[in-house]
Amino acid sequence: MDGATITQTEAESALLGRASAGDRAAFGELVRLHQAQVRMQLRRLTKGDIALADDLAQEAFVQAWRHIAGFRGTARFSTWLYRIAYHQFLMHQRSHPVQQTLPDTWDIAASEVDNVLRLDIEEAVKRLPEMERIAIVHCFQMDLSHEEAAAVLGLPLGTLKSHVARGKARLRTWLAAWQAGEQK
Amino acid sequence: MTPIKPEMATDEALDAMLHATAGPFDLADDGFSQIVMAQVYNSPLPSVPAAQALAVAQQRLARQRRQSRWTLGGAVVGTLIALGLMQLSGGESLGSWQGWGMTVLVLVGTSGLLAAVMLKGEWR
Repeated sequence: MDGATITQTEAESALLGRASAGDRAAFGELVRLHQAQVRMQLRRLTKGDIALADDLAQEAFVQAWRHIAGFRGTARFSTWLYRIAYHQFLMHQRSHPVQQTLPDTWDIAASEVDNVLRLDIEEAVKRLPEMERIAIVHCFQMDLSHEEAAAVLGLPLGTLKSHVARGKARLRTWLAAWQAGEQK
Repeated sequence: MTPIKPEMATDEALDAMLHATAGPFDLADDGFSQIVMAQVYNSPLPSVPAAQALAVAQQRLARQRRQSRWTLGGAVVGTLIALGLMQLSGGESLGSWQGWGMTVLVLVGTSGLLAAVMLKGEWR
């Protein structure tokens, strides 16, 4: 850990202490420090719906303010924020359920295949089944450790790893199918 | 935007490829924080941790005392019932040597139970 990181963590701890005591300006600093990560997490979760992601991020920060006294410091503040943001996303999903049309097994004979596999890896991730996508987003695209991602998603570590493994296997299958299609 | 290539189908390459899609985490604020803070200024102050911790501790203590009272009461009533049953059964009575032995045994057992309950109830 370099000096800059240590300083930032100490500064963040001081801000957290002040914010917990009701200092709104200190909380404002925390919002500015973490807004990019939380908004990016929600953009990933909402598959790039920027307006929705920002609405959910705003609500997440307001919830964080209301419950900041409950932050015990046992995890990183960013992990705690990610968890609140994920909860906001889940609440939105429950009130606006989306039917996932992608089958669990990929039919390489389907006409869609060529189109899909020409898309970039991010598009492929978006097409994964929901929990596999969410697990891969947090472990790879949010750069969290498996332990942190499990804490954010409220899943046992083993379950999270299973989702990641299944998602990666599915991505590999799609890539192999695409490769086979290319060689024909 | 990175197109998928066949060589990415290996595990390490796929991991690297997925990690490469991380971020960006330097998203411009674009007034986001201001909108959030406007809502925060309209929200009530969060509860103070010390007051919250005190309330939790008081609730825990009250619960422990309640449990202790019920357990002590249960032990005393149980002892009285055991002694009463001994008298009613006619096999042993407080007037006989075995009856007194049983009584002492029950009382010693009850005392041990009460001591354990008080220790657990008050200091755990």
